[in-house]
Amino acid sequence: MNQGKSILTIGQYEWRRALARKKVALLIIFTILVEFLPFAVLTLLPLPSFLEEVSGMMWFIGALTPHFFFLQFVALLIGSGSTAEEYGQGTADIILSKPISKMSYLIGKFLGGMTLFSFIALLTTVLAILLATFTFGAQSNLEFAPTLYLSLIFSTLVFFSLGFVMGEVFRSPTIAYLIASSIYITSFILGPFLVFANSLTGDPFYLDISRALPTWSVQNFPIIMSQELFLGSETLPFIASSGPVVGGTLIEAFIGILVYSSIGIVISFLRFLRTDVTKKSID
Amino acid sequence: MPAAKSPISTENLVKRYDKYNEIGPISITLERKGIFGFLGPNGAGKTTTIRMILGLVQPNEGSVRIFGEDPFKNPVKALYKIGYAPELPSFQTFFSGEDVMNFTAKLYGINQSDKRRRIKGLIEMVGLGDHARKKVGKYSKGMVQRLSVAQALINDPELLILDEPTLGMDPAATIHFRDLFKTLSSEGKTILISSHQLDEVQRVATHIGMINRGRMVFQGTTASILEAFSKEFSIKIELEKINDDVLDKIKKLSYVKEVKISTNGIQVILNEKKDLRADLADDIIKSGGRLKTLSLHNATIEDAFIETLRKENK
Repeated sequence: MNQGKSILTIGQYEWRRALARKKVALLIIFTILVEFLPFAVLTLLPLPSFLEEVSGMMWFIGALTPHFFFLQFVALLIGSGSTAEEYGQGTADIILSKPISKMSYLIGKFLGGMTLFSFIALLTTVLAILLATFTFGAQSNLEFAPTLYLSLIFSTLVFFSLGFVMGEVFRSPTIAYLIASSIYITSFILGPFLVFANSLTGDPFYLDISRALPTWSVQNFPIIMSQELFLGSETLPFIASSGPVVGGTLIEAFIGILVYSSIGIVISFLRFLRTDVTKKSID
Repeated sequence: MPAAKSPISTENLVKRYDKYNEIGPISITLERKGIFGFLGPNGAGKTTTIRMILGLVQPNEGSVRIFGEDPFKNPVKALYKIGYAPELPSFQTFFSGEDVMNFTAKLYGINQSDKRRRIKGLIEMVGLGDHARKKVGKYSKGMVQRLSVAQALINDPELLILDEPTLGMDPAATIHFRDLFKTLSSEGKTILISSHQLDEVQRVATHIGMINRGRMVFQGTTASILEAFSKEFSIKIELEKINDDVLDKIKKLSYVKEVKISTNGIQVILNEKKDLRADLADDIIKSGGRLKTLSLHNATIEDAFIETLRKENK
């Protein structure tokens, strides 16, 4: 069988496997609920004036909200379980004893997980557009929705790769998920803390560190890109507290994503190709 | 370099985990169409050796070839003619038996029309016909083992590697699979069976290899090993009527060392390690005895196994 077909077979298998996991399914349902909830609340309450001004851009806020937190956990969960669970269950042995190269297996696993995530992100983005239109009426700048969606996928590569590399290094899904989530949460909390430290001391060093955190690139790449494409100087609620305060450019965010995800991908491939297939983990 | 095109050929394979935990050097060359019984106590290194052969564990030294191909450099070519059923197999529990077979067939690139026919045939052959659509999570241990053997046969392999294939199976299934392995071997497949069930291995294996503490301690044809480990050959006979005169004549035969009489029958211990049943039968008839049954009794694989362990552990 050629390499392309092997990758496709493993990718399809990865979709089925990931969706069969209850925790992934639950997190997806939870993310969709998070998407629904604010819109549901806003239909019941009188609309605050600051939201009325940007009601045509509510699809954008709706698409970004899950990306800022829950979707990163979904990415971490899919990534960390991708190879680690195969070791834990002892299924890696059977698959890799078939005529398939280790490279095809890992590429199939990575792409399978990432395309599954992309599908979930597509669901939340489409849902955001539909809910915003239903709740706030006609939305503006919808022609940029595909670009925003692609930027969300690209920026999530960071935490998907982090989960993936942790799964391959520790070969235990629970340990991998705990460590990867801890890194994400630490980075998530440290960002605002460093901004606060800068506001107290005025030292730009804190902002430089803040921009070097993985969460900065992940959160700001879609925002800066949207600002350059269609938002211009318009300040939307909640995004004002992230990108504009810390500063930084689109290219910095792009490089941050590229560097962090490349490190994760390279380490996981090297580890997988150079070590034995673990028979069964203690997880 | 190991011999080319042999189903399995390993040369001085060594796997070193730490100073005290080393497997090898292991050199095995399998002949085509035979059944190779791979024996050894728990932790001897059987499964690690198999996993090195399959390219799942990288050896520190030595080389391995499957039909002349290196499974580490060219896994697609090397593993294409192989079927492998691991020890304590695991499959995705949300898969049905049929899904497992479908997925495995896809990995081998088997086309759609062949796939359906083969899956149906193999599932029936291993006795899972009524459970093909049931989730693997609901299978018993024995059923998972059956499925494992079925998926190993999906590509009609030339070489079948079975690690403890009948573990967890009931006696009827064990007999069924023993016959199946014999049939597959007679059809031209080479089979490597790693097992603790020594009597099972003795019944099917044409060749035996034994590993202890990570080293091969013997390998050869089953017959040659049994002969080497037999201290003496004996023939068990049953006469219609035990006659002292006949017994005396048997005792005086040049190739007879001793005659033992018990409630189970008469055991004639021979001077030589030879199958002299025909000679003995002739001599009994000539001396007026009426023979009911006659069987050769020599060492079993279990005897060889125990004897080897005793020597090794000294």
